[in-house]
Amino acid sequence: MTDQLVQSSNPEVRARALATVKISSALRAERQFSQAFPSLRAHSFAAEQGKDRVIYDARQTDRLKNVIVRREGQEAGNDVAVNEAYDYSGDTYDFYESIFQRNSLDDRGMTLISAVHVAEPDYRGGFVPMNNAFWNGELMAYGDGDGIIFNRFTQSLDVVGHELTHGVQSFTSNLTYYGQPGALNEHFSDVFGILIRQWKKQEEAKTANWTIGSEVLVPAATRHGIRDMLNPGKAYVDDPDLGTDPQPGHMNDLYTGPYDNNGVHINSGIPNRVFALVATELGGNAWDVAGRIWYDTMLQLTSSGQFKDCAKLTVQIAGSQFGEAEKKVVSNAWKTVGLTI
Amino acid sequence: MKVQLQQSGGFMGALKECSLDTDQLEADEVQAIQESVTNTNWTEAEPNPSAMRDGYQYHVRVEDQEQTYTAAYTDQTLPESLKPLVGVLKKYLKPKSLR
Ligand SMILES: [Zn+2]
Repeated sequence: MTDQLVQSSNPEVRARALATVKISSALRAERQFSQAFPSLRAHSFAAEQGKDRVIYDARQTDRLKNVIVRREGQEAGNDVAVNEAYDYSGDTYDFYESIFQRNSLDDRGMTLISAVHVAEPDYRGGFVPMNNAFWNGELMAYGDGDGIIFNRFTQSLDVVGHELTHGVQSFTSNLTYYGQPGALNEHFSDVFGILIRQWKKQEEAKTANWTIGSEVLVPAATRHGIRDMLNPGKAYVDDPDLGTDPQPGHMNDLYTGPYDNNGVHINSGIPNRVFALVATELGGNAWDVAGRIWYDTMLQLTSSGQFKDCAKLTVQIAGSQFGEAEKKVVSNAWKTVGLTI
Repeated sequence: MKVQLQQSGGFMGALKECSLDTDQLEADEVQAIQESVTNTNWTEAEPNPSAMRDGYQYHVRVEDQEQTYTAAYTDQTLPESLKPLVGVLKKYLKPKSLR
């Protein structure tokens, strides 16, 4: 299968497949090595660490690793963005550790690196605050926002959890960032982002906040967040600066155009709605049952997974790990969005 | 010269667009755009299978008297030479419906 993908005409698929081949060979080599030198292997396990955070300050430039301003265990300072990046990446680590027994992004104690006060170049050789947050494959980068529409992106715990979950995914399903696999990649980041927030606030699913990025937007009557998982397409409506939330909540409205990598942040509305429906229907804490089903699905999906594959796996895992009632709730939710298993 | 920038993706994922004539712009903005257009090698960038998540995508279109240039980039493939043009046009982006 990987060989076929290596030959794929889609460059992203080809590159991922090549990376998989490289990782498989590396794992084989490591296995052979540890069989030959078991004591060294044990030593490398002992070197694994627990929570380890580093925060960089880009100081309003696009140099992500500009200056280290806080390391694990150091006291909080006066910079709110630094403190939020430190505290919220810590909450994200604690969530994955205590709920899923996962030791950081790679499950081997990888250091969580954040860069705050990241800016974008302007046309005069200077910089303007970035209205965005991203994961670059190694670290989370957060802009301060323009203060007119966007606040600083470290302000929402679910945004920090979202970015770090992109890191978790790079070590697990590594869903290709295009089309339906890309929308699932975005979906899992939103799911675990919101779960970390609900867990931290101890909110039960039925009464919980299902909005991504509420704190990131400067409040206005026409907006309440960046995405609304329970009501896709309703996070902002007729907003003069943002327009209308483009997320669909049903397969009939699936976006197939070229923008946003074929709609990765757009079509994620469909599985997001499924997750929110399942969690609210089951009741209790969303991270206990729905979260467990979705975590195992995220680990088991392949990089080319489609919505239908995700639907099948969640239904199957709900049945095998929980029972008929849970299985029915999950398959009904997929049916509501137009996917029948 | 007519210039257009479409920005999509980012954490937000929404489409924003601006389409304008350089006559409408300030002198230093026009100069930045002209330098970008001259200094850019307008061959399509290789698609970049990057590990970046929540980065932006840019579709750029420039029309002068002689020809039309179009190209698509991401945050990671955007050439240095085009950053001034994108920097100017980003200020004028307005939400645009996807459908
Ligand atoms: Zn994302």
